[in-house]
Amino acid sequence: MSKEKAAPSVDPHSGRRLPDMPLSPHLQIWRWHVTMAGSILHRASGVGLYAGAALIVAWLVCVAAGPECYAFCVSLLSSPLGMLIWAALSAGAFYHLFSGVRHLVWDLGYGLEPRRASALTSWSIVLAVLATAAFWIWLFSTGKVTL
Amino acid sequence: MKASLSTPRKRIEGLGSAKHGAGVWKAERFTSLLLVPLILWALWQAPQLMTHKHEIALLWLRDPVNLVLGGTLLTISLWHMEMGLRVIIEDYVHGMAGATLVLLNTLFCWGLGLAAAAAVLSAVFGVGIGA
Repeated sequence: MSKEKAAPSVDPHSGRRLPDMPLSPHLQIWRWHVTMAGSILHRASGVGLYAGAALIVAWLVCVAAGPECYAFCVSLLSSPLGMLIWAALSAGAFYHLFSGVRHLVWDLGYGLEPRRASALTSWSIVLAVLATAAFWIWLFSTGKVTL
Repeated sequence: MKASLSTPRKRIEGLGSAKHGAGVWKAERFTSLLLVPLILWALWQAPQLMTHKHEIALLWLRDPVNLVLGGTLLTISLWHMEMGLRVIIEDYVHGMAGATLVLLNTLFCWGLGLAAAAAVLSAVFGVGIGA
């Protein structure tokens, strides 16, 4: 337990000082465990996909803007850096998908016991790695993507 | 004790949530469920869109099935990601800065949606600037 004293909390409406209450433990206090890693990964992949959606809209705008703009856009997106971004986005999409299904299972009331919750989380990570690998093997082996 | 004109009940109500938590919770689940098949469809379609040919990209967009599924995917995605990033902001950024970021997040998602709609109107229906 941390012995540091938190700043006194104040009621925003009356300006009165609230009694000292225990703060919700943050990253540095929690022991590392897989459901925590899964939660952080779910948020991180979500933020990544947010940027990915902006990229898709940029692609759409380039299609509308005409052939020259489109050629420039595609040359950026198919550059080595672009490929790296697509690889990261596909991994993020697969993880967020499996992790999201895990959340839906929990919402239905299943798999909430610590052991099962951890197993579900480990499986969502393993499945995301396998699905991403399979996806890129499919892309390269069918010649849909070439380096 | 500081005097307050509001009744105790009003004060307690003001301290709570914004009272639309259940609606947001349902919207999160609704969008998640829809996104499961839609994102799989997008991953299957994605390689076709990594084309260097502008005409192929246009043809893909002008296919009614792609237009309907793609439009649904983008709309639901924007709704889902607006709610998702808002939760993250609300967890870590407090006060005025947090409120500003929440507003920017909503405006950004609407902006992306409008830009996409304008692009589709122009490329598919020949309406608008540059069409």
